[in-house]
Amino acid sequence: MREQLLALKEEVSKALRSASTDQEVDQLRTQYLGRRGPLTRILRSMKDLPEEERPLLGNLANQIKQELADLLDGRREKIRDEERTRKLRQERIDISLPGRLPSRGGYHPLTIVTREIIAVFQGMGFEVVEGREVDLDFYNFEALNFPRDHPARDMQDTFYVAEDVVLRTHTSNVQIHTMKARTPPFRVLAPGTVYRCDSDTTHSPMFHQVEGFLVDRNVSFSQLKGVLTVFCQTLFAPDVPLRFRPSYFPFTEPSAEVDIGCFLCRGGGCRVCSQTGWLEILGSGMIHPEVFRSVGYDPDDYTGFAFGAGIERIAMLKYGIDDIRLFFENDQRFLQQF
Amino acid sequence: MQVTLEWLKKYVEIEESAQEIADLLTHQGLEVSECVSVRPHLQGVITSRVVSLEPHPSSQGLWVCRMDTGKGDRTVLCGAQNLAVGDCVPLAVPGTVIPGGKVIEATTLHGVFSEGMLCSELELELSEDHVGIMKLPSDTSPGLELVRALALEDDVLDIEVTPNRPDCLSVIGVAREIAAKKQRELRLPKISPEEQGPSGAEVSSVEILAPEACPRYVGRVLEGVRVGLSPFWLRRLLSLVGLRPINNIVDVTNFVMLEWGQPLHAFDLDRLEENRIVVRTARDGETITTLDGEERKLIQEDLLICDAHRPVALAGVMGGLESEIGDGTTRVLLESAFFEPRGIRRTGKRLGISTEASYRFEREIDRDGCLRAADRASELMMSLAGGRLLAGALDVYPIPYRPSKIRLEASKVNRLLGTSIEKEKILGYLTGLEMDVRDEEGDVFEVTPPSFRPDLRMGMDIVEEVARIYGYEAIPTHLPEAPVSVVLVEPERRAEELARDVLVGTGFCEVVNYSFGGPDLLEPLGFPEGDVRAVPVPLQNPLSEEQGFLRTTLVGLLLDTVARNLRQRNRDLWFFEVGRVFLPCEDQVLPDERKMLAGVMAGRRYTERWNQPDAEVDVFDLKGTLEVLLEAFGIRGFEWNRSEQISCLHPGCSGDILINTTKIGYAGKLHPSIQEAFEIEKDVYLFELELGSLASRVDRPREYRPYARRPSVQRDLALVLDEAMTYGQVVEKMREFADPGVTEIELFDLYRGAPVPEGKQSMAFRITYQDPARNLTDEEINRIQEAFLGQLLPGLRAQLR
Repeated sequence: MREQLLALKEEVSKALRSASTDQEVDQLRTQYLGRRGPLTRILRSMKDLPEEERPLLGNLANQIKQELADLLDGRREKIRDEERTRKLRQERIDISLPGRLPSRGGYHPLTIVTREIIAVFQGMGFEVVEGREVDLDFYNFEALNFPRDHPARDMQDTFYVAEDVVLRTHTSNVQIHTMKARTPPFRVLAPGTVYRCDSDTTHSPMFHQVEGFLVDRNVSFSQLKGVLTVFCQTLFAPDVPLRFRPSYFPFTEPSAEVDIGCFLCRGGGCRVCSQTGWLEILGSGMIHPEVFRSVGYDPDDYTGFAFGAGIERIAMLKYGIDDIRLFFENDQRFLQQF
Repeated sequence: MQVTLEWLKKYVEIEESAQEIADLLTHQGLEVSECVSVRPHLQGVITSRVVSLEPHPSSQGLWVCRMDTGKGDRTVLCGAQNLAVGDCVPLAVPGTVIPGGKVIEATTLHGVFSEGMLCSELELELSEDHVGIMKLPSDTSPGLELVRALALEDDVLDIEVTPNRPDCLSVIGVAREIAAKKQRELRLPKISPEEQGPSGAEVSSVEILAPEACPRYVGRVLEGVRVGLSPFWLRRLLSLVGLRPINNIVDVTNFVMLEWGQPLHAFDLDRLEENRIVVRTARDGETITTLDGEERKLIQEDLLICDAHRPVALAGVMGGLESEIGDGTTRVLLESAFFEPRGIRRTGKRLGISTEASYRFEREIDRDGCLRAADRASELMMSLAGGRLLAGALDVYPIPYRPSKIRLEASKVNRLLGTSIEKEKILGYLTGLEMDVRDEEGDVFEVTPPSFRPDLRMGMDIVEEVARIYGYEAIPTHLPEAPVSVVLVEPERRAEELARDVLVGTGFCEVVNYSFGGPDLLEPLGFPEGDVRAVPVPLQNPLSEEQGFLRTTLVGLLLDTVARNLRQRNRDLWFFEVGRVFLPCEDQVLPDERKMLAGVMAGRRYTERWNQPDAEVDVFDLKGTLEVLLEAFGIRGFEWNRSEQISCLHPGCSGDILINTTKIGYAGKLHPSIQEAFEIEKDVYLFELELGSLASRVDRPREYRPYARRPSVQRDLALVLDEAMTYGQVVEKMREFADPGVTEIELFDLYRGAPVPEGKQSMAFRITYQDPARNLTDEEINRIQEAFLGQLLPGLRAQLR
């Protein structure tokens, strides 16, 4: 019987060597370890053995049974491993091939910049308000202390729709509408489209501005500096050099132009900053007493400041765009870059 | 306004470099846009004096000149005919490279050894003058570098003077700014012209008939002047700052204008009828021929300078051709006047003339400075053109300048600026700007601005002056103290941003078009008569006809964008725009401005790639986009009502977009004939809707609904229906009859053709059954479905396939 058992083991190992699939291994399992297999037969005949041989041979039989099971399992595992490896090898692809692409959308660069600007001022408690694009001369000029026949009007070539109706030349008309409708204090940011009859690589008959103003009691020029410093540092860089210098706008006094250090040449002078090392970013100033009077505020009660920036200009600087017309040509190859 | 550094130095001490002065001025509100260094390359050109002058022994017209060079004499041959013994002239010694690149060599010419070349102004590129050898002032020592002797090195600063600072349209005005900032003395030229002979009033007179338009007119009479070329220094200076030298009389008027900011005009007194001046407004239709040779037609509001009979100048704008100073002029009437700014501006604007004079007058000049400028010019004219100045100015001053007095408190200045500048310092700054300052009790002081600063009228104006001189950079930086309140964003703006996010995420590019367009972008859209969009608001002064009116729809320009992109061979175009349209309103001056959202799709559904299907977009891509878009606003299954009335769309594939029966826009396939008009070769699908209608949805409450965790079961159902039956009708009926156990109805196949009979169609639906509380058994589902079909099939006159 011992010989039978050992021969059986030998036979199974031999058979397994030629088994190459899962199924073949399963077949062998049934054949040898199944209820009708040789091992079962041997185990059944155990009872015919003399009493004293039984434990020894019984142990051996169980041991052989276990060994056969292990052999079969081992073989099956190996086959599966090989199968997996083969499959993995088969599924190998050229990953340098282009991917499957969803349609590429994009925000207009002017939207991106406007959103960035709004975010900065919202952080400082400014609400966002929009105004009319076609407005009365009063709101665009008169109330903003641009008298008729004054050279200040030359600074803004105006499109007319009718005698006293203009396409707004700046978003400052929102100042007048807001002040007339409300009582201070308020902080307002007014982004929007504006128009001037001018067209070349840096001027477009239509462009975008963001205007901001804050009115309260005891607002000072140093607070104007504070707010605009935070704005420039957030939008450009925390360490961007800043310069406030006197200027003239009819609706502010004192007026200030705000320049940032040219981030292209770092102040050394280049084509973009016209060799000055500075880039004009904002116009600003304390709201002119005449403006307050025109909306019925007493300039002794309220003070405030206002500022404005061109969105195209900031976008051109940020993205290195050298022709303002690109914004309105809307070529897909331009739009998909943002 | 251009000034040179050397010129400024005549009025204020300057030790700084040109760039430092440019920065100083910029920080004070006089932005220097350009600073050009003028350094002529004239090494080897020296001053020399003619010691003797002999005609060349053999060559006619040539002169053999003996020149004192400061270090011994040299012989130089010269062909010019304007030399005399004792003349000081520039000499280019051998080895010199003169401008233009010519190298001067010592050579023997016609048997005479010549050591250098005597030069004309043109040869040295110092002016256009090439009449003869350049003449230097007679007291010039020989042997000096010409550049040093004539102080030819200078820097030209181009200053952008803002409209409120007419005083800085003058060199003295700019010098005053430097003096004030640096607390240096401003040295004004001493003016004391010698008067001779009879009184000016005996030979001429001035009469002002329009005192409001001409509050002051100063005339001075000079006799016996010789009109000629100005000396080199004056011509050079005028050229450096961009003015063309003309003759000594005119050049002096320009020089004084640049020096003081007071425009002057010189008339030939003998060309004035009755030798007198009358200032009056024009008569309608009157004409004058101005210096530039143009005949100008005038209206009543124009101001004229006339002689006894006719106009001789367009006041403050341009002189008349007939009274111009000429070579033969000997008697000059010099005008130094103040004209009312707005009138000058209106006339200049209407006639399209802007001159150095009108530019200054329309910004308001110094009314008290007229006489001083006239005297300064008279003195210079006599020194350059000879002659004598008749006694007494003809000074008619009907409306004198009334200075304003401004009371202010130092604490108010500091409160507005956020500074703590001492009162004493404040007063010092203002005094430095030549304001008359009276210190009063405590905090108070009173300022009288000088007559050349008409821009200073109220307290805030003075605050700005303090800030300018104190320096904006020195003002501290603070954040506002006001409490931050609720920050609101208008719902329309939020709707707009949400729409952008959805569309960009879906694969659309955002475009921004002009708000104006031309007839070629509107007419093809074929809006019917009576539609406000057919009659856009025109601009009165458009840049071109193509930008002639305000858009009434985003579609025209958007289609143009598509056409332009296709011409550029960009192929798959999914664009959208958020922008305003302008609809005319009857009985209202302002149009109705509405924010719209529009989108277009043309080309392929997927980017062209090796592994992506090649399929053109169709109307259902458009519809799907709208579904996604509107779902973001909480609108599920929006209504798209077939309409054949949308003029720009294909009548068979278009409809109105409705929300709760309110029309908010339209969508569909572009009408083929419009496609043709815009020269677009691909099918285009588009939508346009009013953004305002979505704004109210942006704040809609969102409430979570629990979803069923029990498994769902799906059954497919194919119905054979009449061909005319629409999906919408079928689904509507299905919803009507569906048991609550039916949770979803999804169309998964649409089929026509055999074996489906002619005139019929098959729609296959996947129906999802689910009960939130428990598992449905097959029997239960069968029961539900049978009941469902029992109503549905007769209701739709359908059969099961």
